[in-house]
Amino acid sequence: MSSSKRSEHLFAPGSAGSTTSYLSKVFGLRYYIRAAARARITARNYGLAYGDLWLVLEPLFSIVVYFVVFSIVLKADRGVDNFLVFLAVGRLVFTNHQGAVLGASTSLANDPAILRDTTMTRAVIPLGVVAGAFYQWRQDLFVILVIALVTAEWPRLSWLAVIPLSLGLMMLNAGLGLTLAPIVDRYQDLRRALPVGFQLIFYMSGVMFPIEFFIRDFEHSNWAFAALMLNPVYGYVKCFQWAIMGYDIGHPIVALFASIAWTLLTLAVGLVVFTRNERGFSSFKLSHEV
Amino acid sequence: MKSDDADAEEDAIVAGEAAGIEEEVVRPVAMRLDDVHCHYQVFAQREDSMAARIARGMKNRESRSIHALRGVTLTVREGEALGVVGSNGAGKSTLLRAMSGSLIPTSGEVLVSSQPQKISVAWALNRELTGRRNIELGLLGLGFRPADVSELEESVIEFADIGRFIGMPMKTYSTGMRARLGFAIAAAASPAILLMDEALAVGDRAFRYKCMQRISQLTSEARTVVMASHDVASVKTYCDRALWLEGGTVRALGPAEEVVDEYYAASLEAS
Repeated sequence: MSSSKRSEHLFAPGSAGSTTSYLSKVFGLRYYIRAAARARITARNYGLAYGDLWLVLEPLFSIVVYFVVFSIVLKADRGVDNFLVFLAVGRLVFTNHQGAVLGASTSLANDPAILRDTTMTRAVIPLGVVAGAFYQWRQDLFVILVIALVTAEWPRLSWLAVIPLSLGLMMLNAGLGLTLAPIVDRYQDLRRALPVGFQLIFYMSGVMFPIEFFIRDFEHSNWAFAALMLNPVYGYVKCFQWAIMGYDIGHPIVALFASIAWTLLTLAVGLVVFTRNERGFSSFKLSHEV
Repeated sequence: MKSDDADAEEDAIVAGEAAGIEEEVVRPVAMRLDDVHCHYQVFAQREDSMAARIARGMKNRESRSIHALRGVTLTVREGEALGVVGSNGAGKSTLLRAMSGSLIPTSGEVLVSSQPQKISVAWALNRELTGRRNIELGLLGLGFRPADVSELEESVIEFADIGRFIGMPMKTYSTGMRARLGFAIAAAASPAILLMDEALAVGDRAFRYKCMQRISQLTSEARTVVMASHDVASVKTYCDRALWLEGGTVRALGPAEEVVDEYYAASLEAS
């Protein structure tokens, strides 16, 4: 009798349940996501003499290189005041976005051991990568603000906007990561193709030069405008440039709405795909261990 | 997961009371497998001429399907320790993966009363991090809150008993030390269903004994343990029943002593 009562309690192991219950499982693992993010950074800097100092040195050096190449050698500033800050913002927003999305989207495909050995809710794997990139982003932001102050870009009220903008950027990274990770897991060749795609998006994001200057009659060119709106990160690059140095060519607010739309769309798609496919990831990779 | 454990405990108490009156009471089902088939899709890289590749549409891989489990039917009850024996490639690991839910059967059904926890020698730990950080990460991944983690951490460290290595990166560990840490983390969670895939194969005698004591404690608390092992002596000593898997099918299922002897005799004959 007790066994028949019990059979009603039986369920398929690792089943994802509804989207809401899946979301609450992810929320229940929020401390894991945070710890995994920190662990990634510790692991990456392990054995380095200057350790976590590289969180600041790396973005700083890359900005110096960009400045030398684009401002001093190529003279590509195209009349932007304080081109150094313009470069720093664009370069660091984009690099962080690219690192987070590439890392998150390959996280399932690259870590078959965790899929094989654990029954942990799968979505926390890419989310841990995105959270790790957010830790890096806080240092990037520090570097940007220091460069701004050093080059006499005085604090303004709009600097406060970097807080919601940073959270928005992280949500966009999470959405894209969740949407792309299952696709990359299914079509492994994308692990090679995605970085090339990001290269294209990089040139379409107005990082090294104000891209709007290259589009004649930007205000009246619908296709050019549409192309920029199809780039999910463009809005954040624009808005950070506006918030920190008041650069507002190319409708930062309109671009931001496009980015927010991308964020919501990819978060919804990613969540649904993860709920539906929870145990189906990397199934063929498991075969290496037979 | 927490509430499942509480449920299981409650039921176990009910079952225990009933058992006090009548020994032969049927315990609640912990796990039920019904005609489970598992396939792996494997890609074989082909190396041939460019002309042949163009003819195939440039694709350089070919998929094959491996039938790893061929219809396994099985019921495991709460408080039971089941040993799984069989030669290499018999499907033991696949069976445990299907039980844990990390692999979806191609056909058939796996049902459990509580989410199983699986440990193996290759337990996913981060090699660059210290043992302590891995314990924290592992426990958080099992769903514990940070407050519980700091409480549990010390008992895990004590159980793993690897001395000063606990503060060193895991890449400095021996295989045995890694296994010790993996078992200590999973056992700390006191899962209602514990699956062990050769988890103790590399541990030394003293540690194996300690683990077996822990397993006996778990089963006495009406928790369920399934262990795939080549250590037939342990299976005989600590398991109630054994399953002999060969080529993905069940060769025998019954009292541990009988099945293990049968398996042992057959493997001697084959060699």
